[in-house]
Amino acid sequence: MSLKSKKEPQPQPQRRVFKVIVIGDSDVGKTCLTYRFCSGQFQDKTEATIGVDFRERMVDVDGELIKLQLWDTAGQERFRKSMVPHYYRNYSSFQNLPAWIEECNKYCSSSGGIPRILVGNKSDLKEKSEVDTNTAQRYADSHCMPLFEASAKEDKDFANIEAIFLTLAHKLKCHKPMMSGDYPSMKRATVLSIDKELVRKNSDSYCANC
Amino acid sequence: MQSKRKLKAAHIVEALQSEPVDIHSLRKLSISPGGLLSRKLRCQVWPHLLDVTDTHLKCPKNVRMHPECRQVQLDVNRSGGRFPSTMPKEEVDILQEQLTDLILSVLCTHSELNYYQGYHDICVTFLLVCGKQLSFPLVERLSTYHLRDFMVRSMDSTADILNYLIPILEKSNPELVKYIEKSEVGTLFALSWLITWYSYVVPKQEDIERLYDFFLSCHPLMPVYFAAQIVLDNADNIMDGECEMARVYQVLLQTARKTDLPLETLISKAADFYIQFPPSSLSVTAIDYYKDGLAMSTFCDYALVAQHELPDAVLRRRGLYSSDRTESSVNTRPSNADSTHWSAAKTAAVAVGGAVGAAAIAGAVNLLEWAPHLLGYL
Ligand SMILES: Nc1nc2c(ncn2[C@@H]2O[C@H](COP(=O)(O)OP(=O)(O)OP(=O)(O)O)[C@@H](O)[C@H]2O)c(=O)[nH]1
Ligand SMILES: [Mg+2]
Repeated sequence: MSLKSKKEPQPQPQRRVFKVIVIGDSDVGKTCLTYRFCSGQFQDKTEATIGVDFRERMVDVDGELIKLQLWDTAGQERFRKSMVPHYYRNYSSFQNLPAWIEECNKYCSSSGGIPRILVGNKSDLKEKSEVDTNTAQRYADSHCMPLFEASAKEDKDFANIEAIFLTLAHKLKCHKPMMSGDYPSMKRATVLSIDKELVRKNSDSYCANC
Repeated sequence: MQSKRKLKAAHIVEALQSEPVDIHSLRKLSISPGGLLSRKLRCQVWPHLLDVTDTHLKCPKNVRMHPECRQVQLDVNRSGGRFPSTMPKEEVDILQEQLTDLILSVLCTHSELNYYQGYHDICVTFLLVCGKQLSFPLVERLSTYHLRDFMVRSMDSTADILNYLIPILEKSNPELVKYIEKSEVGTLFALSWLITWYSYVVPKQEDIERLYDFFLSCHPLMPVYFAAQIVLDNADNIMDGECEMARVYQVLLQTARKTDLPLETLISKAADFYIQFPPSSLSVTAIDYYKDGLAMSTFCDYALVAQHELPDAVLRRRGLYSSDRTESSVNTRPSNADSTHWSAAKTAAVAVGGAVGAAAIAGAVNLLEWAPHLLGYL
């Protein structure tokens, strides 16, 4: 499923690889967003993701070619967590954000303060949005996450989606110095979380930690 | 070739018409090359493979009130790619409605079963092959037997079942196992293979149906043995490059998606492996799981193999190998068997014998927890 960017040059052993983990409720558009970023296309017919899918693309961050690895996860709760019955009816992915963030923190705390990005997908359906941008912004601020709104569907929004991932790559690059003992192409992970409720009835949420 | 098919079809019909139905032959015919050949035969044979006698099970009412309804619909709405591209949209819509009802009917009948994304992929195949009426009793049975471990609340059992993969690989290619372990890729790549019975990955619907003939006739761990064969078949490719998790994960993910998957050979080899290394012979860790109450563990290994004897020796002694009377069938280890060299003995040894049972275990697990390597970089 992964798509390599066309401009990938000869393999360089020194190349750095950043990992981005995309999490969020089912149907928010995680697969579409990562596919759009990696291939430039809107994937019309997605299937529910089972397990974890993988895509990658090379990006140029301040003159350094970096490989971004996107791990596209399944949204269904049982894949992430087994817990008391939690029904999907009337749920809102925006309301689920605290759970996602808690999850991020649980796995990211070891390396301390991994940056996250919050994406409200399906901005083309804005009129159906139940969460207004201000609410989303306040929420993102309170968790020190930049907020982006995007549409994987709209061709004209592609540059915006690139900007989201480039911001992520940039944050990663600046985030912390390499630890000793790491080999040159050390990997860092980021988590990108998506929330669609930002922009429509059943919001889409992505949680990105860089 | 055509005449061979005709002959096989005639055998299937004969087994169906014998009084009582010759279930043993049906299992053998389902496993051997080509499987059950056509949808028409499948809908007649699958009920027998699942031991379903009451094909007119009444569907529960108000299934759309089920709490998982929304998730099911989200997944069903995105299942369009599984229907033939030539099928008119209206027909796909109708089938998708039926699919939602089918899934929810099983969930409403068995409150202990939990829906998972990927279950819908298995149900599609039943709907396409058997239609909505017959699919319900079949999927109901399948869910309480073969799929039960995937449908308990937690995913612990699913992870346990995936854990069989490595010991199976180890039996044939320890070098590959070392490589895979070094890469820290884990077994998560095979999750979608296992819980969708390959519907999520194998591109051709007819191949999926043929695989179902095989799985329905075998021990519920057979899909793991089959996964092992796919991986083994691609060992060179997997080990050709940097031993790094993402690369290995990606290569592994793709291996089952090939359009030219050598299906019959893989099936044959999976069956050989099952005979040579039945679940109870696998590593200590796996055996612990095996004894620990997985529904799958209540399926018995084929009796011959449970005695820990080399299967070919046992089969030879019982005169089973003589059925094709060639020298090689005596001297060749089953692992060298070519898909055209299926013996009746082999299929008999693979086909699951009799009673099936189920046990549910509960617990809590998080995908991220059992794929710690994935987040290990954080
Ligand atoms: N209008 C609109 N629809 C979108 C957009 N992005 C995705 N979709 C649609 O939303 C649905 C879900 O998209 P997916 O990418 O499959 O969702 P997902 O988050 O990967 O879902 P899971 O794999 O189940 O976790 C699909 O029907 C997409 O066509 C968008 O930006 N705008
Ligand atoms: Mg997805």
